Amino acid sequence: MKDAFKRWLADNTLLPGVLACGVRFPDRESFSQCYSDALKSDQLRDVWQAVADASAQLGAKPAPPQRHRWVFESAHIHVAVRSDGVSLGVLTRPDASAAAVGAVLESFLAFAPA
Amino acid sequence: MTPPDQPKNRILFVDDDRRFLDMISELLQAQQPGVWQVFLAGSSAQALSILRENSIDLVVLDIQMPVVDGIQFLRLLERKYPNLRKSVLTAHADEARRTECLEHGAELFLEKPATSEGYETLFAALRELAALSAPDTGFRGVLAKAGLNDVIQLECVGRRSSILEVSTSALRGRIYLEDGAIIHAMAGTLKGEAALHRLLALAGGDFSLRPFEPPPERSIEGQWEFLLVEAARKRDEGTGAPAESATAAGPQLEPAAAPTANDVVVDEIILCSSQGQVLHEWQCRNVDGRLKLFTQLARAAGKIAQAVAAGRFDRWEVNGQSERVIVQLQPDRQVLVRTRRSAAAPPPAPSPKPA
Repeated sequence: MKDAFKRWLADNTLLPGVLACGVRFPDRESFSQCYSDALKSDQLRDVWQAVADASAQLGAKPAPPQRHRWVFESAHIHVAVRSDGVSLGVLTRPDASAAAVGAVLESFLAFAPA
Repeated sequence: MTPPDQPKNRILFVDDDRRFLDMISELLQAQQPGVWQVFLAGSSAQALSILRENSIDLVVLDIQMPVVDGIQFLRLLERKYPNLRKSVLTAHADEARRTECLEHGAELFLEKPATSEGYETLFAALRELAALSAPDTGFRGVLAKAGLNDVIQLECVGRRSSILEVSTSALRGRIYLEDGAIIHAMAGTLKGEAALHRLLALAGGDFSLRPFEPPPERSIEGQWEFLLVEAARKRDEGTGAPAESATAAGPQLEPAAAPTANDVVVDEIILCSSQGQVLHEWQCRNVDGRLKLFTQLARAAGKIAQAVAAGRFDRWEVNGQSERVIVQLQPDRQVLVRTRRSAAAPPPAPSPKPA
């Protein structure tokens, strides 16, 4: 199943304004796809970890499936959490098309690994 | 520190408790050095004498004073000094008294703080109030610096009625505020929320705050906090309006279809200062939980920002199938708005897990 998500990530997330993305599993394993030379896999792992920890801690959330967005001055992080607990994080520049990223998140939520 | 060439704000505290006057004067000048020239009056008579001899920007008065009570004194000030900014500071705040004070000319009605953080919030509010010039002359500002959003929030928190006129080289608009609610907006040929979003998406321009007049119609409903957060979201998503290129009325610039106050139900709002003082809440059943949420979120955002140099954090949005939560953390305030589609049953207020 993890390989299927890895393939999905490589095939679906190259969009203008997307800097990196990653999938995180309920067992805490994660892998990333990076489109920016300025980002390292260690940094991204920290980001997905922080996002996942925050999602677990922060109580004000509807039940999954759900979508989060963290809005920072220089970057946005879009997150989709599936009912099976697998989550996708997409790190973008602020000017990335929200509609295009939204379509990627919807596709992730609908993805059924073989 | 205020530069030497910048005039200080002249503030007059009126209170019959001399120890309180000395304490607040010391605290204010310690927390905001160089910003204020402080005047103190132990009675309304003394205050009037100071007002005659000095040009005061802002009066902060207790409403429970002997001889002339605070309400009477407010009415007197309103008649004699209509351009003077006035704030009530009391140890006995209640809704009836608050309404009475605001009706008689007070721009702010504040409770005497019990903590040093509370005083920081109080002084920040007074500084913002002093920054506004006389209400009947309006003021001009640059949106990029002053923030149209900030002006609207100040007006709404103070439950004031006014008209905010906004103009750029290509667009003119008006936002009508009545008793702290946004009731109408016009921008070019747009009106209602579309106009509000257009105006709030502008990256620059001029604005002036005018005395309130009834609008030609009422096109906006809903809580101002939600409206502003929604406008910010649409601006960031590019569905509000292009910044400097906004033109008067092109239909091609109409914002994309999005939920409006008519089909979105607001279930909860809480607005706090950055120190966690609740400034406004509506249907918030777990205030302590929300305050904890703000703290946890700030901590998590700090970790993320550090990991990828993402810059200042603005907000966190959670979209479920029917419910939506937006939490915005600003340097001076924190706001949470929880909404749902009107067709969905109201969910119970979630309780944050223990830290």
